[in-house]
Amino acid sequence: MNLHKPDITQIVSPFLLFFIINATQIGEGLLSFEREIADIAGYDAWITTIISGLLTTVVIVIIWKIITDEQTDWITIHHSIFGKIIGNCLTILFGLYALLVSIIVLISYIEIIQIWFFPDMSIVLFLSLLFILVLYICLGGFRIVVGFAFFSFFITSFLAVFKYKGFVDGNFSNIFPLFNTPIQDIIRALEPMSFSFLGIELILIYAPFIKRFKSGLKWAIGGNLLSSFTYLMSAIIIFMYYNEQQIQTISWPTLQLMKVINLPIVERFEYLGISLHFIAIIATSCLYFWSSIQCFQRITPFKLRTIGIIFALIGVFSVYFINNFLIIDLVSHLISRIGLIVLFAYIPLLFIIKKVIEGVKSKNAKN
Amino acid sequence: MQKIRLIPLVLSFILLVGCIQTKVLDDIELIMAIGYDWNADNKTYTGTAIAPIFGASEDNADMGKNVQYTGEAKTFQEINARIQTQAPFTIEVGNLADILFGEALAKEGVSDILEGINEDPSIGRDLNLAVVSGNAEDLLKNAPILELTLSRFIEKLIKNNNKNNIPRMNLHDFNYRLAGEGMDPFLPIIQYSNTSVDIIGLALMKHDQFVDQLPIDQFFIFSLLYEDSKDHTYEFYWDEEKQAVSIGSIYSKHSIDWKSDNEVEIQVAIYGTLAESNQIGMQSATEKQRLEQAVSKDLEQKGKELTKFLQQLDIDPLMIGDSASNHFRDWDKEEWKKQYPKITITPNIDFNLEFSNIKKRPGQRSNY
Repeated sequence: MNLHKPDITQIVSPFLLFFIINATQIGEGLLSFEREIADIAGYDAWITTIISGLLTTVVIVIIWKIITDEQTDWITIHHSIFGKIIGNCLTILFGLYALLVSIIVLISYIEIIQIWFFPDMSIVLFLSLLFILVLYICLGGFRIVVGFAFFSFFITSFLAVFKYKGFVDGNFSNIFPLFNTPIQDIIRALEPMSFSFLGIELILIYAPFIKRFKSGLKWAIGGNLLSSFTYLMSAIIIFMYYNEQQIQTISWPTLQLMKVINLPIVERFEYLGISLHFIAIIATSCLYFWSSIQCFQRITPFKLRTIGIIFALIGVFSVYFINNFLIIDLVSHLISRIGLIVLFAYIPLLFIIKKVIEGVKSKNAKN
Repeated sequence: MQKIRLIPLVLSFILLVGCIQTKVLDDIELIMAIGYDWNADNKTYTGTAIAPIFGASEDNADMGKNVQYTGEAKTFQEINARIQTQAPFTIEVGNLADILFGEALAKEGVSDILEGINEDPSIGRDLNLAVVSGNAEDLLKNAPILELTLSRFIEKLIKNNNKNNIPRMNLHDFNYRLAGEGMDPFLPIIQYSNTSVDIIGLALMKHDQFVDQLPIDQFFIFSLLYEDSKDHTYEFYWDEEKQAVSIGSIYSKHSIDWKSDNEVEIQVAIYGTLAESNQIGMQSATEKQRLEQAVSKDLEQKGKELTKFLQQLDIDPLMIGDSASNHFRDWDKEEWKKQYPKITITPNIDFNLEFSNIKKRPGQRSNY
């Protein structure tokens, strides 16, 4: 089996999984997921956040069951299960998916910047600058990427505190009567919700980079539970602050909530909020971008640097295809759907296939 | 080699500077209040914007002065474009503090113009809305020079009255009630005279249309039934003693109790003081109880009249429909609309006198 042993200078402690998972999950989705889940499941949609938190925890446990050896990652598993050609194809598909996520996260952030700050800003120029930053972080190695994720955790926590305003001004009775939505709708809302929980599938890529990977399970689950808690609180606060009809008219409920916060030094808090959210966006995008180039680097003879530069160029030029808000919406929905399949169908399936193959092998070994 | 590497860096700094339109505070016209009026003849809105004059020179330091622009068009952005044709600097609406609606526009419906305001990302949500009795344009152009600039004056006037007279209704709250079901918004009505700008009443809206108004003496009962209020005062005429008593409410708590699907009770508990009572002795528990009961009964009567009045107008600023939708699982908005004028709303008001003021009635001794 083609094992991957990363350089010792790139390996990080297992407790950092807590920050990595939190940073990958909390990104652009935090600004708008409430509207999307409320569209399907009404004001019982907060139950969906709990359900998806629990389901993703199960997926994390499955990932820990899949990776039995410290040096295995997704690529080696694909090789061992599907053979070289099909395995590589699947890896390439996953690499492209990760690249698409990293691009769409940046582009949808730029959309907000354009609407709020600079409508006349050149999107290509800004995207190039962002990709130079992303490339710089990713080529610096996994430790730098994790460092950024660590940093992003504190920024998102700081911003989450400012949702208190919704708690103060809102009507708690908005979420009553409880369980008034059919259970199918609550389940269907998992699809838009899973966009906000994406990120745990990347563990399969960076597993070899975690020291004593097996002991990291509790940190990974902790990180996931913290993001579910953040989403739950966020959903309840936003549901308190807006009523069910109003929320559908608002693109970014969180940003509109920040509009009401008046501090003595900042009259309109959302400007600060959007700017600080930059860190969270970059952290998410970097982890995906890094995973994408890692996938390709493992199966092709090219260097990380070459692949990185090529992908960054693809990222910059993708703006000519993803050039308006409708396409951004479409791609986001596509990613949610792919993510849902990867998390809740592909990873459990991989686990089952792996178990079956191992069972067959051990049976043959006995005979 | 090092130098060659530096060149793109330096170049990028130079080239990036001019990318985006800058907004220098001295070169923009900071619009702080906009008033809208409706022209029924050609179905357009007239927008009047005022911007404070920030002393171009020290002599011109009269802070109350402002400059006015008007534009006439069918949409919010187009009005801004028309206003721009009169203004020497780029107009910016990011610091808007008040939006005023003329009476005619309020009667016609404000939701179209609000739609445009909500779409503009640079406008905040914590700004004050008000209906102007008469024309908004007249108020903004002719109001007297006050101690603050007119926009700040109206902002402070409404914000401070929100504390102890009228419930708060900022742009977010207004949007909330406009979009939601089982609720209707309301707005303060302001009027100008030769000497001042005052709040004269509360405009009750049916969806987005101004239908009727509440006078100042109804503010107290309205606040009681609408929210948990604080620090309000109420003048109560005590029939039995033939005199007026001023009641101060320190705070009040309100809750909506559904007895059945067409019977609702608004429970209000007021904890208050006797603010002006030099004619009444308040020496024994029975006297205290008598006053408490008299006030409660009087307020219940007033409350009943108010809810009847609102039901007759078929509007729901007290958000009783919203409460019903949170209480009943099978709430249906069409059915509710038919049902609302017929339901029984009973205000159940309980006044608790926490303390009286320090003065005692001359010649009377304590009974304790």
